Amino acid sequence: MSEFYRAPVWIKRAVSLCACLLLVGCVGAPQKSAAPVTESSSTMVTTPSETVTPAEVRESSGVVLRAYEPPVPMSARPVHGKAVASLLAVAAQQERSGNLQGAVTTMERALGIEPRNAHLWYRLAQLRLAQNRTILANDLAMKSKALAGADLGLKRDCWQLIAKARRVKGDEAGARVAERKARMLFH
Amino acid sequence: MAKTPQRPRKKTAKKTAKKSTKKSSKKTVPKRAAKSRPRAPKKRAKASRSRRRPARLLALSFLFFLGLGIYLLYLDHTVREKFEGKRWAIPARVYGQPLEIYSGMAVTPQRLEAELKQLGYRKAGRALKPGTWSRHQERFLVRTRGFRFWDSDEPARHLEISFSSGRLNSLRHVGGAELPLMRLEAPEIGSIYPAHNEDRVLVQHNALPKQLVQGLIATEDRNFYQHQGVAPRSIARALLANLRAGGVVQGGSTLTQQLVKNFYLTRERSLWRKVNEAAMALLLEAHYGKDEILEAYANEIYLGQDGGRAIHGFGLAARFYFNQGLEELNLSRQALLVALVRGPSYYDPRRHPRRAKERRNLVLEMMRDQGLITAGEYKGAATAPLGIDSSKGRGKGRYPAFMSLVRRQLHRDYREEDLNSEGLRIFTTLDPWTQGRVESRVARKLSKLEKKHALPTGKLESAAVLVDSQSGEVRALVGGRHPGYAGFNRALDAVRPIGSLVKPAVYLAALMQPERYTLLTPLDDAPLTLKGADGVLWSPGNYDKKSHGLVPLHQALAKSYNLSTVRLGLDIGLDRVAELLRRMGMSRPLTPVPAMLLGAVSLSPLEVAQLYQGFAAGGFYSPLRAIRAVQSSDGEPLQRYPLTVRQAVPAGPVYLLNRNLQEVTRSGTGRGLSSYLDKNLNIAGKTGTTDDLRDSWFAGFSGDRVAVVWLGRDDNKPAGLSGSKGALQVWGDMMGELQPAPLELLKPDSIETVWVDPASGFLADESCDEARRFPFVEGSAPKTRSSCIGRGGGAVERFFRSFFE
Repeated sequence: MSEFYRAPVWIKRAVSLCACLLLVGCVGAPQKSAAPVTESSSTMVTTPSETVTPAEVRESSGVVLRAYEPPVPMSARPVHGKAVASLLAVAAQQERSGNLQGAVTTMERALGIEPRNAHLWYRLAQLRLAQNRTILANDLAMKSKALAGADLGLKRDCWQLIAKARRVKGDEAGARVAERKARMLFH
Repeated sequence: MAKTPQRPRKKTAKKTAKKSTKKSSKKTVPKRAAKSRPRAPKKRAKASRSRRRPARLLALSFLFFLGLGIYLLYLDHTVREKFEGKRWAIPARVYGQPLEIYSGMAVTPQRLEAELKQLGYRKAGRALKPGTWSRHQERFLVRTRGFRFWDSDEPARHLEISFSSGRLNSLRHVGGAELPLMRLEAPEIGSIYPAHNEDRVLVQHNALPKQLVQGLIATEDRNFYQHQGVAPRSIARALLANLRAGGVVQGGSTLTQQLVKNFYLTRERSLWRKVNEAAMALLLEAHYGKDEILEAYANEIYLGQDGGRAIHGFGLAARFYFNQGLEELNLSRQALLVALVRGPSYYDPRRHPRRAKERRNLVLEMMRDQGLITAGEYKGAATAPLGIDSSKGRGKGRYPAFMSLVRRQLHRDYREEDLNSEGLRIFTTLDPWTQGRVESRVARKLSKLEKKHALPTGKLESAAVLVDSQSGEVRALVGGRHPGYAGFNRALDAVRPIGSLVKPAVYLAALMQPERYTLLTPLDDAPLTLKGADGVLWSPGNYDKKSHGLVPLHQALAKSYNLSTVRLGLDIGLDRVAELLRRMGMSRPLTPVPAMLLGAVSLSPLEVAQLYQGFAAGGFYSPLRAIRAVQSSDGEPLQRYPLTVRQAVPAGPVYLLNRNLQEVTRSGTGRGLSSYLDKNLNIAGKTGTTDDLRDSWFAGFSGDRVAVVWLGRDDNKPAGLSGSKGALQVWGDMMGELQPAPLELLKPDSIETVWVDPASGFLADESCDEARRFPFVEGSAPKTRSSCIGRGGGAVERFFRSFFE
């Protein structure tokens, strides 16, 4: 949850920074109109009959940001809150004592608190793999990977887990693909 | 009396014992009479043949005692069997989502207060007992009750919770260490009770408050601990009083007899029943101790009515009347429960508060007179208000729509009789706090819309579904405008055409072919006429009755153009769209006809929520869940409904779609949302309207929630509202109340952002004037270069521009 609420402050800062930079950047920019350059590969022959009115993010300053996507906040390695950290510890304890089901439930509780914490999804995938639920483990690792953002280490771990799950399932080719993807994340 | 009734009587008793309903025995009474008559002459004829009278008498009396003996044995068996076996069908108790409390959580003191109130916690000057709390500005002291969750036990604690600037900033044991997190008890949201509508919460003997027991004995059966089951003197006293009054004014029954009457027998008033009752009371006392009998009595006694639900036992009555645990009741409340024993409807404290108070004070008086309480205690309790909880003890009536969803999911795994008799504990995903807010907002907004658009009053109906976007857990469900009524559940059963809500699926199917479609692909919005398989011509039109020529794909979706959508859908193939819908979890059979592309697909609001949950979770499908776990009555886990995900659609195309859905609320058909929600929340959503304004839909999601709202009329007449004029307004109003998290989409690896000149759709760079950055699935960005590329700007300018990347 905490990451959501930190964001607006960040966005505001980012926007004001962008606004300043945009003003600087615009000074003296030559006026040019976009003219199509024909290229052999092009299949597009007609120009749209109507002017495209792209979405704009207008700030109170009246400055227009030129991105279709709103600014994306940095997503670095997730920082666990105290609550989630304590649940991770409980789950680890449960796992050590062989209570995998208990650990799964604990991780689900942690995900209830930080649903977009990629690391928690990965932990859940690990536990499911330990339970030999390979398909679910594979899917959970995919989910973790989707939320991992810039955390390349976690992405690599996810691919490695996916490779393991696929191998257990008997999908040797799929496992190799996953391993290759994991290796690609090393540099 | 001697012989004839014996065998048939057995039959009656057996039946009564088996079913323990009033009706069955009433039916058997005439049967017995009819059967016994033809037998009697036969026996008399037999007897007349006998020559020696004394021998006959002896034989007769032998038979009589034999019969009596057998009958008593039978009664004894009945008494013991029912008492030792499972005495009652124990309804399943259904719980909602508990509030997790941890430092740093975004929760207001108001919310905490509301949650505590919902759980029946009482505010006190000093929190001394479990279930009480006190507040000193931003600091709460709470004594929690313990609770057994499906995964672990939460012990009772004495907590200090502090807030600062709308956040919970510290959670610790009073005078002790910091606590990383804890959860309040799961709020009870309903029960699943058997067909004969008896609901109860079992209470063990040692959990019965001492003063409650004393009061009960003082008023109902003063000699309870002395007698053997019947008290002849009190019967005689009662008989005398009744003769004098010429009617029944006083009962002479002991508590044991009352228990026998309710437990084994019918309400019929006959001498025979009285004799049976006395015999069984004696037998019961012979076998069991006073404590056991008292415990059975305390759980059996009928104490009130909640619509079709009969409130049995002190345990449930405490919750029903006071929203508290029995052990938490103060003297005056305990006395009120005792008062209700005499006549729960006559002394109903909700309908007849004066009578109830008089009777309660009479109980208190008797307790004082017998020296059970002091004069001071009496005075305090007799002047106390009744203390009735207005919410009717979280009974069945509170969340009928959600409860019916729970029942449906449970019926896949459980038989009805297991649900209503085994005392199961069912943990669900409902968040009563959110539910309450959603309910009130929907109802309020509906009346406002009717007024604003001069629609007939009271005709507009609605359904709303609120789901957790990552896990698919259902947090709130509104089945209609009057959520308290268990009627037609529109969230589940109003299967209506979804209109433009289907379009995201069409566009997603297109974006999944990045080599053919990107957000900027121009689509033709020119009119078209199609000939169906049945030869009927179909000419769809745009909502504004205009054609928009060539429009980029993202704009066609943002503005919800019909013509370009139909052309797009036909181009990618109806089967592909139908297949995508299936992958996203649609189980309903779909007929792949062109009209499907504009929403000639009928779905319930819940099914729509399933579809949009898939978008919100980045293409991961999680089946919507209302139940987390089921526990047996003794706390053993029986079943878990775990969190599962399945990647239904690759992340890249879903990312593009979601960006496009954000454009809908930013500058497209959903831009009206800005009057309810901050634009920086970047909500993604889509409006939907069907022919003649019959259905008004809005589906969308924030960073944490997916919500779907439907408006329309039950008679399927035009409701008079488009998606943006109707459902969107309700959606915005409702979400505004829930403080949604901003939607921050994570860019998948397969997405690259490229400068494009939107007018031409050609590749550009930052030096081009009108150029903007658009996301593309890798390799699908335009390759045709605009002439403006590379012309502009010196190194310094480019350096500054690079900050945008």
